[in-house]
Amino acid sequence: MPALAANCATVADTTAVGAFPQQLEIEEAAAAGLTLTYSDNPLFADDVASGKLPPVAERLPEQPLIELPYESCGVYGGTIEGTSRSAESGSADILSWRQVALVQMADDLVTIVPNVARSWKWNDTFTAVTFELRKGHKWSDGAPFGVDDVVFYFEDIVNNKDLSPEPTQEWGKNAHAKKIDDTHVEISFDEPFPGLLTYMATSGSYFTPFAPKHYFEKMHGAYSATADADAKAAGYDTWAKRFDAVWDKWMDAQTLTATGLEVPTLESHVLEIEPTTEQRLFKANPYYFKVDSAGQQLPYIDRVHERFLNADLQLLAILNSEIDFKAQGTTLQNYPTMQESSEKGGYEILMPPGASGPVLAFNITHKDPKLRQIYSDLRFRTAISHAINRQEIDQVSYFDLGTPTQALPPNLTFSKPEDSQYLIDFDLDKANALLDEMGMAKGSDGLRTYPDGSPFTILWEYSSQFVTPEFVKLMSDYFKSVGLNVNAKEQTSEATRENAKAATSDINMEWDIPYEPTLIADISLYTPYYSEISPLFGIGWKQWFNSDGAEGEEPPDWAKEMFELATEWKTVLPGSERYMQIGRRLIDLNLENLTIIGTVGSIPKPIIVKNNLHNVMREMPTVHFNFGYIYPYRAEQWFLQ
Amino acid sequence: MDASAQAPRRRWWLFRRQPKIRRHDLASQWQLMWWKFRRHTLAMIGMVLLGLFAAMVIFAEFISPYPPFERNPAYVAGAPQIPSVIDENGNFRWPPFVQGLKAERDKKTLRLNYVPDPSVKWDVGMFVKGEPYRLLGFIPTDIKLFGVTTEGGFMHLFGTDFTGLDLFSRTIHAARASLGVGFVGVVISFILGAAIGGVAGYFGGWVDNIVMRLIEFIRSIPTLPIWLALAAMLPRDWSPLATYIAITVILSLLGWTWLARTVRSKLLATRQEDFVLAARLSGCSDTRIIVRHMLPSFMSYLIVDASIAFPEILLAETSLSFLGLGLREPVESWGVLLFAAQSIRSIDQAPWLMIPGVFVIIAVLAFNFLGDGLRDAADPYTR
Amino acid sequence: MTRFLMRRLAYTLATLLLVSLVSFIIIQAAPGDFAEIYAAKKADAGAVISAAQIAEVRRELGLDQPWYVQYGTWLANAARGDFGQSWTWRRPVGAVIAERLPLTLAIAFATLVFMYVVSIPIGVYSAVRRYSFGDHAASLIGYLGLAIPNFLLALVLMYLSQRYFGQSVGGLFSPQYSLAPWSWEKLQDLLQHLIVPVIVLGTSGTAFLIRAMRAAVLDELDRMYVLSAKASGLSPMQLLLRYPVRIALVPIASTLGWRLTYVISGAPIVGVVLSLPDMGPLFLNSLLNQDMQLAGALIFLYCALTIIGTFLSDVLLVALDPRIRLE
Repeated sequence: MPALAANCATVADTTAVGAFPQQLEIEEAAAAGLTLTYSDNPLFADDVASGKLPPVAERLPEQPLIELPYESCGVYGGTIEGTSRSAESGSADILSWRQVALVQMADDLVTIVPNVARSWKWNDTFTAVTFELRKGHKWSDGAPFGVDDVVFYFEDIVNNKDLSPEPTQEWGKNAHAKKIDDTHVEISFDEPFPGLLTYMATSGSYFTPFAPKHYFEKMHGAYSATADADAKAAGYDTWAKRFDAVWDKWMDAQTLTATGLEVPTLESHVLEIEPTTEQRLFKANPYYFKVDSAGQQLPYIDRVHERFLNADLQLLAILNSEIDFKAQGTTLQNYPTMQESSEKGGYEILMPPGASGPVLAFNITHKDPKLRQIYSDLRFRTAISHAINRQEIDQVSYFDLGTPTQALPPNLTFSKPEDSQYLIDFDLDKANALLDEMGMAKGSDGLRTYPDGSPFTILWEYSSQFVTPEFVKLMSDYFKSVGLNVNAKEQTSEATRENAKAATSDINMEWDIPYEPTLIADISLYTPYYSEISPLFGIGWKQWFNSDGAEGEEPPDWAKEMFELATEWKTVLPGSERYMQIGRRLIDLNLENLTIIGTVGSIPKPIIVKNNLHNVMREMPTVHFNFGYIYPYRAEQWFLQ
Repeated sequence: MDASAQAPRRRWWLFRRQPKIRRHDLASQWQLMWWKFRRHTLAMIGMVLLGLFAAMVIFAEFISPYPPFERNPAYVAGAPQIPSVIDENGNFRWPPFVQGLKAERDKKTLRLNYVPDPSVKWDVGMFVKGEPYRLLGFIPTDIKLFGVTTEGGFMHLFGTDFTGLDLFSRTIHAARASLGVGFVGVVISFILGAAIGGVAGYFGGWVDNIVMRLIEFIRSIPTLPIWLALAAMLPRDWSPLATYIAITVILSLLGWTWLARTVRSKLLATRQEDFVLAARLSGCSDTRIIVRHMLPSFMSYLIVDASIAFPEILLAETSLSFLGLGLREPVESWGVLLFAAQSIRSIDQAPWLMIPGVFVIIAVLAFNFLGDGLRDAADPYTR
Repeated sequence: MTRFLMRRLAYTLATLLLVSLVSFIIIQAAPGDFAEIYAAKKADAGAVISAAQIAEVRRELGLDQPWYVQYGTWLANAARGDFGQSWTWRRPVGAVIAERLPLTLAIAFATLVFMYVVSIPIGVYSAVRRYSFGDHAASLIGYLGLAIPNFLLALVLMYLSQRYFGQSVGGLFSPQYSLAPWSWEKLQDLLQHLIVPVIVLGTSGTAFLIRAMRAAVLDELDRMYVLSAKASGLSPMQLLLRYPVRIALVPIASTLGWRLTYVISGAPIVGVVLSLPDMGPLFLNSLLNQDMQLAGALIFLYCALTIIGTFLSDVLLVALDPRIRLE
């Protein structure tokens, strides 16, 4: 194994400091006196020798991004072992190891730093931002990456009527991209959107706003006259259907099938063999655009091996020292078991604070009108909040490490300490009184009925991905203690999501409470319907609001106010007075209406790191879906030794 | 089975006793079967075990010290507590006691350990007062078979689960659903099997042919996948009770074939018998002939088949529930209890949650023993 | 012989057709509106599905046709190996299953071999040493094998093998071998991983076979020819192997088809618990996620496997014992 590079500046180095933390642009490196001699992974040596790959200096952009490692410049080689539940379940963790986006969140989870883009510049009104791309940056197949790929994404995918009948608003209202010159591209929108960069660096990092034009244009109707005929030959009705089958907004979905072998990427690792129902294998991208402070091309690790295992086998695999890193889906309940085996298994458990604990959102817009009537009654939701013994949940389920709380995004600059305590006192009398007042009388069996006397049951379908069976058992007990019958049933997360989208679920739980940057990025996480993947409630309300009342169903006044505030919020500058006002009002509206009922929060999240994995950020502020899991902590500089 | 060894001895025995009238000659068919059954030790053991299970089902509230849904927050994921009469100094102590415990959290592993508190002992007694309940569903009482008499003490014979529920009480109560599914399933299978097999055997010809093909077809398909698929088809908003009934029906849908085949072949055989001809000549209807004359003549074989079908249905219920497609809380069956015990975390942190599995094994064994004994006894005139 | 085979073949085909109908009904019987579910699955995260989209899906999937037309289309496609698209894996069902089928067959085959290899000697031993300690022990283990639920045994064995033997779990290969080309070490790795599933799947069948073998050998031992052979001075071992065991094997072999059905039936749950890369976990997940195209194809395949297996074992039996032909 080659020795560690000698001339290597790390994050601790005080001389190698650029405009942004922990990374340098090429000019900054020169100014700091770093001499970069480019070298690459011996994995590519044969291909370079045979001429299949150009030498490293030609593969790197002229302006590579220089990353300062956490511990030291690493050594090449090795396969990192990871695990997901299945191809699209619990796989975002491993996606985040190879993730790229135009910009990135630094590991303080506040500062936005360059990544694929070298720099950016806003206009005065925050209606357009110009990105500078890296000269000579290449896709993983060696084709040049540039302004055209960004323009293609906006003009030919987002704004193409065949592919997106209703263009998404995530990159700003009516967003368009325009080529300025060979390395500059401008993205503009109709209304100010200062939160765009934050979005791109956080929850938007899963959907990169660029796509390989040279690959996709041959199957795109606007570029290829034979696109429709080709699609038919390949078994699709139209070119758009074929395009949809290959391209996916969700970056991980493109590597689900064999087409992932062809679609070029900018990520640190590229799909190497055809994925199966058991595993995926990724190989280092020879054209990756980052180097370490000694000039070694990243990533260090040759291959990423992702095995699909169920939750139990994941745990056994960890105990058995078969997993090098795992952040997503490890539950605190397994902590004793994992801790006791950590020495034998050769791993360490990091415990960054978790943002959220489990929350419950009753489906206020349930398809069933009778259930909707009950769930949309604020008295019902208040009664539930009072019926929950949060202290006990913390003790029984979370080793006393959590904090009883109402549902509230943590660490907001505009929240008050008492917000988290709103209506969380455990008081069965209050709860019972409220339910009595609603007319839900208790029958002879002690169970409450609908006000009309027919039997009432909460159908609670939960996924073990978000909550433990014990939690559900305790909660069911609390419901029953105030006379509410509950029929709890475990489901897969896929199934609960389908039901949530169809508004046929009674309780939805998939709300990852975001920190403030993710609210800046996407305030819709704090207004109905709260989650893109698994809506909590109010899909029809949003539809009504977006279509000015033409479609969907009319929301109550408080929800209307939330939508209006959210629309305005996007246009105001974070930290401004109006921003604080809107934020405050949104907290109040959510709390007053108990849209989401919180239980226990700040639950630490165990993260498994094998002892031979280096350059792992130790003090992660949190590891969270909305921050792209490990994306802020730069997995491309990990190495095995 | 073992004819060669017995043959010479039997001849000798016949010879000795021939002049007397033996009680065997006067005994009814059922008496003969019972005598024969009694000699089968394993079968007797099986029957005693099943008797105990029956008692468990009937007197669940009396036997279990706690209601099945009462959590003990002071003892979560606690290990089984076994009463003892020997104290820590080796001295005899009466009444029996369990050691007092206090909770301590391991700072490093976060595991909650319950360590003995030597100064505290909780007395255990018989026929103690507990939560009020109705014995047999109508006698109001609060006497429990056993329990802790010391105020503030507790005893969980099988330990507790991750929410502090008493596993012993739950296991006892769960026998109801588990054995209930088996029992009802067997009854449905029995009715289906007897009806379908009866029709086939009695009418013969093309009816028989179709039924036999159907049976062959059902037997050639793997049951568990079909059960799983059918269970997954149940509407998601069905109540646990409705699910319970549906699962029972599903399990018996494929289980009737053995019985049907037995009924058919026996009917075909007895159809030729004189007593059937006599009944027909005296103008009995088809139904009457089948139900009153033919069925009783081979009832014993059907009971044997039923005793074998029972454990299969029990195991199937357990498997389905274990996979989350069968019964579910608040219905409690052994399968439901095991569903909660299936995680690696349970095996590692609370292995006692597997105890209901032991009950499943014992119940299946008991039925198998019983079935073997019945099979031997079913033909009382051999040997 | 040919007539017999033709008849069996015709019967097998008819059964397969019936099974395909059952599979189709199961796909159709999925709760909820299939088109709606499908549309929801196709839609991007968070997108709202319109009635027009649902109608489009309905038309696309042919759900607006009467059921027999749908069945005909499904069957015709299935005959060409096209079972539709699995939405969970976003790939054709055929391709997904093709990955898992070889190992499903391998496990079933290994289990059958295990069952016969273990049960025949033990059965013979039990018969010869009737009422000995070994006989009682064998029957006790046999009873336990029948009584222990497969999944419980799988769970405990999995945990123990991981905990105390450091055996990697999940799948049939350790991670370092799962991508390696075939080699002696990889084969060993595979065999090590096969032990637990084969034991779990094989125990109950083995118990049954031991009892059957014991009874069959006992029957033969009582025959006159054994006595005469004994009288003619054949050594006990030779005698045993030459006649009674050989004859007793025929009825044992004839249950091969049933045993196969049994093994295939038990396979899904063991596959799920041990997370084997066979069809089991695929099947359970397809049911839980209502990936009905995949579920239907898998049910069909499970049934087809046993039906074809039974047919093959019939053929084998006829080859072994010509008397059966006359039946």
